[in-house]
Amino acid sequence: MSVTANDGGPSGRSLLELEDLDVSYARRGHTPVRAVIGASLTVGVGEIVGLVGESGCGKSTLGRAAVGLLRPSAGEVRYRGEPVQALWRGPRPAKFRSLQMVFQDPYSSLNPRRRVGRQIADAIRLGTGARIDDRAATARVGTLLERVGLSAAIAHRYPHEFSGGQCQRIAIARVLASEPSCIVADEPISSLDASAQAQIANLLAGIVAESGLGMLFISHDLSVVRKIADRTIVMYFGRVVESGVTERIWSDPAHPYTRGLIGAIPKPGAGGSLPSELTGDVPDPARPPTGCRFHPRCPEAIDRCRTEDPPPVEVEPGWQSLCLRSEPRRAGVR
Amino acid sequence: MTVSPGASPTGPGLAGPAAPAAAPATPASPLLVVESLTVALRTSRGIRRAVDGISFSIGRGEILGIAGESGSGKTLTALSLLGLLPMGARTSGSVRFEGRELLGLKKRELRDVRGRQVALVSQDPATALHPLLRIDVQMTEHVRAHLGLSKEQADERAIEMLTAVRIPDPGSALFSYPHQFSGGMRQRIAIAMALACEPRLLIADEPTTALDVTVQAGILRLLDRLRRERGVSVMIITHDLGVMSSIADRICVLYGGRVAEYGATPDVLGGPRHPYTYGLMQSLPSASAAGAAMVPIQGAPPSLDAMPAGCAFHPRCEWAEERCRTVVPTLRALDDGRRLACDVDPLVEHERPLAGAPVTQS
Repeated sequence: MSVTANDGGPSGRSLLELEDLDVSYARRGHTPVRAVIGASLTVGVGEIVGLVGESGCGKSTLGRAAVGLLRPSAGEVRYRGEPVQALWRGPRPAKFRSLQMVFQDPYSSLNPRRRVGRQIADAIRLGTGARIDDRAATARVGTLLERVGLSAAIAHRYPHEFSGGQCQRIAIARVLASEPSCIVADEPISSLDASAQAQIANLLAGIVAESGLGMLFISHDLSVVRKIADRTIVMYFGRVVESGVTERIWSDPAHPYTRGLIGAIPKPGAGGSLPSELTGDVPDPARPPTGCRFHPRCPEAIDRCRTEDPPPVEVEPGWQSLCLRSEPRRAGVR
Repeated sequence: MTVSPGASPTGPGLAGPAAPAAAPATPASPLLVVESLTVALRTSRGIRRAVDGISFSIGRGEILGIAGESGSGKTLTALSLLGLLPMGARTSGSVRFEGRELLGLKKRELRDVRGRQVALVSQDPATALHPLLRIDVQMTEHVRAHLGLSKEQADERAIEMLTAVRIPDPGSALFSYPHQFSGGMRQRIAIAMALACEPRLLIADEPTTALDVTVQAGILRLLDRLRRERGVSVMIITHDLGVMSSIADRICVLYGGRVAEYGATPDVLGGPRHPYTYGLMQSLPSASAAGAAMVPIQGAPPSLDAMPAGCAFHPRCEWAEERCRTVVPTLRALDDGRRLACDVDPLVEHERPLAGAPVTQS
C-alpha cells in the first residue's frame, strides 16, 4: 500500500531506513489514531531527503519515530542496518548516538540555565563517550561553534543572550558534538526570522555536503525543501503520497496534492497574483475518509477515488505517486 | 501607484456580497495617516526608541504591507494605532484616522475606535480566542457593546460574518468551542470576529505565519475579497515577501524602527533600492537559481539596546560607507513615488527584473 522511496542517495548506501512504518496514538475509550500509515523511506549517505506536508499529516510523528522518540506500532526503523529501539528508561545504546535530531524551537531545546559551551561539552561527552578534560572540551567546543558560524568566545554566555537564528546555530553545534552520521531536522527554520531562515538552511546543507552525513529535513516550507533536498517525500494524512527526485517532482508533480501544495505558495516578486487555494482542511484523523484519503479535497477526484485505496504508481524509476490517476511516464519524456 | 478599489466612505451594505464599486474613493483623503510616529520604551539600559519617526498612510480599500524582522518596530507600530502599547511606552508624532487624532485619546474615546473602527487580527488564532467560551459569546460581546444590538441580532450578524469567511455550517459553528476547529478555521473565526463591527481598518499581525501554505492561500484570498467587496482597508504585517507581493498594494519595509523603503509593491519588490530589501529578496529560496545556494543577509537584526549609530543596517550592509556609520540616512522621495532611506543608493543602476518607470535620483 505504501510508496517506497529507496534508491539510497548519491552514494547508494542507505543510513536510515523506514519500512512500512505505522505509528498510532492510543486514545482512552476510542480506537487509536493512526498518525503514520505504511510509510517507507530511506536516507542515504550524503543525501538530504525533504519531508513535506501540512500540519497534522504525520511528518513530525514520522521524524520522532525515526530517531526512536516514539515506538512504531508496526514496521521497522533501521539505522545502519540495525533496528532502532524506541527510547525507554536507561541510556540510549551507543550505536544509535550518531543518529541525532534538530528541533524546531531552539529556545526550548537549549537549557536556559546552562552556559552554551557547557551544553555543547555535555554533548561531546555523552554523545561520543569521549573522556576528555575541560581544556580539550573547551577547544572542541570552540571548533564546533566556529563550524556553525559563531565565535568561540560566546561559549560562556547563556541562550537568552542570542537571537533565534543564533540559538539554532548553537543547537546545531550541540548536535554536531556527538559526531552524527544522520540527522533528523524537524522544522529547523520555521520559527526563525526571514534572514536567519536562509542562513540556517544553508548551514545544514553545507554540513551535509562537507561531512557526508544523511539528513531527513522535515518542513512545511516547500520552497526551502526544493532548494536543499536531493529527494522529496510528500505526506498527506499519514501516508506518503509522492516521492522522488526533488527537481522532477517540483517541475512536474504527479500527485494532485503535491500540485495543490506547490500552487499555494505565494510567489515573491513584482507580478503580484494571489496563490491558488486548496480548499478544505485535513480531515479528522478519527474518521478517515474511505478510498483515497485525499479525495474529499482533490479537484481531480473521480468516483473510484471514493471507494478504492490507491496503489503506488511508479511514475518513473525512483519516483512514485499514490494516486489512481497517476500513470507511468514514457521513457524519453524526461 | 496606489490601488484603491472603489469603496464608499459609508461602507457597503452588510448583506451585499458583492458590493458594487459605486462611490469611488476620494484619493485625497487616506483612511489612516501616520506621521513621524515615535514610540519610546523604558529598558534596563534607559529609554530607547523602538519606533523612530515612521510615516505612512493607508487608503480606503487599500492593503498596505509592513515588512520587517523581529525588533523592526512593526508590531509596536500596529499596537500604537490601537492604544495597546505596553505600560510606560511614550509616543509622539501623529496618527490620524479619518482625520481624527488617535494618539492621546482618552480611554473612553479610544474604546469607540478600537474594535469598532480599527480591529486587530493577531498571529496566533489559538490565543485570540478564549478556549472556554463558545464562539457566539466571543463573537457577539463587542458587537452588542459597540452597536447596541440584541443577542439575537448579534447572533444573526455573527452568522453572516462566519458565512463571509466561509466557515461551513455557520449556524452550528457559532455554538461550538474553539478547540473544535482547525488552526485555519480558528484564524477565519478570529477574522470574522474582528469584522463583526464592520471596522474600516483591519490590522493583521502575521495572520498566516502559524498556518500551512494551503490555509494561508485561503486567508490571503479572504483578505483580498474583503477589501474588494466591503472596502475594508488592511494593514498586513509579515516578513514573508511572497505573501506581500501577492496581496499588498504598497509595502513599507521597516528596519531598526525606521522606514527603509516604502512604495508600490511592484516597484519595491520588483526592483528593490534599499540594500536591506534587496537582501531579503535575495535570501528567498525562489530568488536564486535552482542549484545555487540561497544568499542570506549576514548577521542578525539589532536589539533595542544595541542599535547601531547612523544607518541601523550598516553593520550588515555590503555597500556601507564611512558616512553610513554616523549619519542617519534621510527618507527621500524617488521619481516613481517610493521613499528610500539610503544615502549610498548602490542599487540605482541595478538591473531591474521588471520593466517600470525609469528610476532616477531625485
